Amino acid sequence: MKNLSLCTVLLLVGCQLNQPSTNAPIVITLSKQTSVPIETVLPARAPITSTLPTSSPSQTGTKPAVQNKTTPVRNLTLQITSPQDESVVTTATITVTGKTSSGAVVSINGKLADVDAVGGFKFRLLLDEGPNTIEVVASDIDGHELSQILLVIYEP
Amino acid sequence: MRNASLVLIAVGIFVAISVLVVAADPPPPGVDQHGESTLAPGQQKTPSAEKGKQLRSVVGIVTAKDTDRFTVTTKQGVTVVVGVLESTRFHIPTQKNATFADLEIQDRVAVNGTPNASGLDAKKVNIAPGKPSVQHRVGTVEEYVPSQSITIKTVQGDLEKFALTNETEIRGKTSPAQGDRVTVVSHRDPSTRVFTASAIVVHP
Repeated sequence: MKNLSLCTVLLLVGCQLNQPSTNAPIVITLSKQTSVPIETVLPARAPITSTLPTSSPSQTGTKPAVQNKTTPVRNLTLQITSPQDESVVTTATITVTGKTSSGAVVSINGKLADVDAVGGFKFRLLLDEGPNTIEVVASDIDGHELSQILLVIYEP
Repeated sequence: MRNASLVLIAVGIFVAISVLVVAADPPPPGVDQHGESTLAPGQQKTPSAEKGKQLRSVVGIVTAKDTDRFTVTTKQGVTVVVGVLESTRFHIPTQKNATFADLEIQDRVAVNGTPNASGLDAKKVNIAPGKPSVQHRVGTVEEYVPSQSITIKTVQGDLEKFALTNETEIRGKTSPAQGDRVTVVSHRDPSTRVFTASAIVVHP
């Protein structure tokens, strides 16, 4: 009988540990006064997505979050249709397309894009392997300017 | 009865040990402890990537930095630890010869590299500048010297001079003349800090 009881306890322990793992520590209470936290027994599983300690000295510096320039300018608009920001592409040549105000000047990485009568534009761009920065700038005749900075990764 | 009890005890011990061994196994790169992918939509997961040699990539905001690594957090909230090697190249459009020291927390970056046990080792890191390196200036032409320079009086009333090259594209007219209203597309050379016009649009 004593052996059966011990066996039952062991099986229960096995069943408890076989549950889907969660971040919450698993505690098995042996008596009212004694408990053994299982997390001290199990080896720590290092997740792939860990954060560095917050005490790193280099973290003390602050810098405003990098944002695309979105200052509203009357009559000047800029919308990128393709490629999508932070996307991964598998071809070296892509076409940057978008829409701006009629009559605006648009440059892609400093090169002029063709803008049609209604403000649509497109520009073929050759990417480097790996990460690429694409700067799209639009301006009107009055000197107003809008820009967007895209990060695109080319992985052949 | 006694034998049956011993067998049951042995089975119980075996089950408990098996569970501990399985729980101790670390998940493979790109997969969390629940067996779900940790790759963000911005990352490309390929069969060869799972073999551990194919380049992988991540795009996001730098949320932590140490001496030889930094952490990138994607829009989806996934964090990836990026190791920096001697061979890692850094690129900032507005800066020449960028290094790891130029990387700051809150920078937006695109990284490609090789998977490792905790994330990936960076091959190339592109840091998005806070504002574009390219600028457009609108004004009237004060002076134009073909293939050398153009000086305009901007709509803000400032005189600005731009260097020209043989590659400078000119649209609207063959060459700008004094008094023409133009848009000058230029970028600043990070090393010389001289603004060079890549294109000039002459407005009607």
